[in-house]
Amino acid sequence: MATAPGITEKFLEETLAHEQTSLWGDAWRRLRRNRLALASSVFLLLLVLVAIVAQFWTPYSYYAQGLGPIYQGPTPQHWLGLDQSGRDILSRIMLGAQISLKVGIGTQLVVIVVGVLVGLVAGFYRGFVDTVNSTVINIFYGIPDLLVALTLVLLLGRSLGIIIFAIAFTQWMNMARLVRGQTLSLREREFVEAARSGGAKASKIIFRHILPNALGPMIVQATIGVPMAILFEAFLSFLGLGVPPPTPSWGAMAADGFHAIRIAPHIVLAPAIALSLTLMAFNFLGDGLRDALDPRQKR
Amino acid sequence: MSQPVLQIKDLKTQFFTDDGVVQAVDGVSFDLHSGETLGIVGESGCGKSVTALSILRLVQEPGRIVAGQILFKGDDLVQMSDEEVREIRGKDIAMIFQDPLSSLNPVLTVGFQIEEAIEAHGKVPGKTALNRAVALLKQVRIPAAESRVQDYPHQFSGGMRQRAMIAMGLANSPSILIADEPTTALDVTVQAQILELLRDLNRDLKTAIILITHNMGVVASLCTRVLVMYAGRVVEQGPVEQIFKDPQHPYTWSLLQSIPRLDSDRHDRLLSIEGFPPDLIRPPRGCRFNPRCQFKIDRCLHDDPPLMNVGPDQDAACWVTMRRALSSNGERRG
Amino acid sequence: MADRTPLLRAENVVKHFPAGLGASVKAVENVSLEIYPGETVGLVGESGCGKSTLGRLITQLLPVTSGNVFFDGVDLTKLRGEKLRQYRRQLQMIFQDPYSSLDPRMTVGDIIAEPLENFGLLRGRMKDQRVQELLKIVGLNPYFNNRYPHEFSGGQRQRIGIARALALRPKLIVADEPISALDVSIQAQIINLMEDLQKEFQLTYLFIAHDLSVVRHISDRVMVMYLGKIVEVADSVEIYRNPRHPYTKALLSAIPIPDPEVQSKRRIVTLAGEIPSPVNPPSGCRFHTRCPIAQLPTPCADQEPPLEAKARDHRAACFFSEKVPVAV
Repeated sequence: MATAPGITEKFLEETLAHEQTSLWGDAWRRLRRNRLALASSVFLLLLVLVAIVAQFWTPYSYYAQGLGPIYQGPTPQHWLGLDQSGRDILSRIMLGAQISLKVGIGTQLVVIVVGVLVGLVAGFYRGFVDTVNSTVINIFYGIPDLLVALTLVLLLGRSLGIIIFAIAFTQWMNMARLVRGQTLSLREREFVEAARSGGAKASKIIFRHILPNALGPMIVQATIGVPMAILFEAFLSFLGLGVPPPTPSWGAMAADGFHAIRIAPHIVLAPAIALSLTLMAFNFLGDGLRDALDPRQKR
Repeated sequence: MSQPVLQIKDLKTQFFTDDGVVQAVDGVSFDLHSGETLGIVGESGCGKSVTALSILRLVQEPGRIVAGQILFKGDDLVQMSDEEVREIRGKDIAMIFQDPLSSLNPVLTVGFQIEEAIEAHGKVPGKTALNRAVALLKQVRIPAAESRVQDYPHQFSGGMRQRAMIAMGLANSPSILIADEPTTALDVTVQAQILELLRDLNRDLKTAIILITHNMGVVASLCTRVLVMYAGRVVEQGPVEQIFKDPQHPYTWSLLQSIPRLDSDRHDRLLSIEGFPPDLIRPPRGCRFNPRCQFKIDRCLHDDPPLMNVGPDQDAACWVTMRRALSSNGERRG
Repeated sequence: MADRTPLLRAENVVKHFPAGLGASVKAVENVSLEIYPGETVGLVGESGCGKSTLGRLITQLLPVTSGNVFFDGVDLTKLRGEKLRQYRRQLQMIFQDPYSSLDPRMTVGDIIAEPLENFGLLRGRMKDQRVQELLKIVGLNPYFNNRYPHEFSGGQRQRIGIARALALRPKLIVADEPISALDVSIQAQIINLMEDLQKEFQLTYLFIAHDLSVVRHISDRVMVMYLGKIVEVADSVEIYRNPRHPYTKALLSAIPIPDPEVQSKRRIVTLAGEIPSPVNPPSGCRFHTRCPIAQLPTPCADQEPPLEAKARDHRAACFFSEKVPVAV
């Protein structure tokens, strides 16, 4: 803090302290200024909209085959063309959005519940509990993701729920480690000491003081976890182990159309582009959130 | 009086942030004479550190010097190129900061860092630099300097690290040493040692010292002249004895009344200055101290007082002045 | 004062922190003290002296390594879990850093109300009323209860911390450097507030600080600590006029007085060297390595001077305390 930038920072901190409207409000403002993050949010909102709409309506049925000549490219009737079974690609892409989002968000929900609980307990109680937790976490890290996921899916079946569970199985440790780190540092903060001094019980300290203050990094971690999960699922589908047909996962669509990539590239391109855009959007948003929530940013 | 070695004329430094323009230094002027010890005293946010950074053109984005002159031996530092300022920084004007732990590189020996400071302003043969480093460590009273020069910062205690910083600052025999809260992070017994060192260095080397602090006791120990800053302005300046005995600005007066003194009768209730530090983005109209001033009159709410002469070599920016405020027998308004 | 029963009594309290590789930080070494109801005891010392640690041992936010802490006659060190938690109602703490001692995600009202909730004392409207009362008592606008800590200045946040400490109507408040992080002009506000509150609510304070000028001002009695031990105890007037431990005298002389005339006439006792590390404290009297009147090697380097009465209500831990007025 003793150098020129440190002094400037401290000075601004002191003078601007009561200008902040709220911690979230400040973060929101910073986020708004990040064009990429903003564009990504818009894209993702549209994606969610598409996914919701797809539940009730798609231009054509997603599983109806033979709607036209197979491998046909984009036409005014079928904006994205037809696949190797004559199914409308656009409709399948729309439903694929649903699958991707369900997987992405579903896995993160599981990851949050498990990872946060484990992390909080390990970080707060330390000692024996922490050692046990860390050992468990490290064991999980040691197991190759793909192997685990494959095994689970093969053993338990290829349903969306199992896939979500399998992917979450490989991802929860990151969240747990993050939350544990946050907990370890937060529990030393003076306001936690003050809470203890005021007679707060452990559960109160953990859920009222530590958890809310760890939300920022948790949200970022979850946001970055979504594209990882979606990609994982696409990969599983590509390998033929994703959601069973005819449910249109983008990965499965790309896998199915792979053999025809030279004559009908649109079958692979459509889901590949959709996947890429979605992944990028989540990553940009995640980055944007991380910068916005960083308390050190002063501009 | 000889020509001042440093003349600050109407310096303005501002920070351009999302919340508005922070007028950190708003028209500060003062002179520093050769060999003098000048104290700049004020509380957090008054602009004293930013003033010091401005002198050495160290203010970083989102801050900039927007107006004024900083005349060092006649040359305006504000107008100089970065190259020219770098020549002066560390050579003619050196600065030391509050926390030596973060100013010193933990992976380099102290000796190396002092040599670096020396060599930044001209290559010297290896041995010479090392010898000079050892001599400097001796000058700042670090015992066993010859072996200490090979040590790393973490092997030094807080007080010794600060001495090492002072040694680095003095490496090129600067005419001015700016010390920004050099003892704030130190224990009081160590602080006494450092202040004694600075006093002796000032006397022996004739290096002028600008000491920035919030501690009136430190000012009383070391400085011959003092500037009191509030809300980016100088509100009072003059010789230290006069300012402490006969402060004319209500802020200076209140500040002195609110500090518990070791030699006072402990039953005296401390005067407390009501209110909060000023908003530097939207400062109060009129005199910036008026929301907290017990002695204000109508004029204070509308007219911003400039620094005016209130005694031999003493200036204060106040329409009322304590002389008049105290003589009107407690007849205070506002 | 000596006839009343102390509200708090610490007996031979020791605290060692493990420092890896078998070494330990001897933060507090065999400290005994008493605090009587209604008084303000100041605890002062420089870095490494263990004063903050001692404060936390007294409130049992840290467990002792050995020794006892009696509050109202009950040995807190023997209590566990819920029983100890119940005692927190009477033993509160004010913390140093107003910027980190308040949870940034909670409203000020919730922060102040939390101790009340912890013990199920008040609910609903009664609780809200009490929070507003407390805000008023510490000089803040009672309608600020929905605001967040970052909307307040340092001095205001410290007032919130004080309101929180008062919520349970404790008997003893341990204030750990409550004003060190505040601007000079605000420090006086908080000092005055604490004095007023003490009168109004019959509080007892343990005021921990490194600034002896402040400690002297607010305290009835002052205890000086050095490297984990109490070296002198006396009332605040006496300790300035007649220090009987060489460290106390050196400490007093090192504190600059904001008066250049007075300051220039003072003789400063410069101590040799720096404060030794608490991992490896000097043998015998811990101060002997820097003491201007130490007699080496005997007794100062091989025997620990006991903290004993040198005059009425004045204790010091030095074999040669009678030499302090002249030779130091």
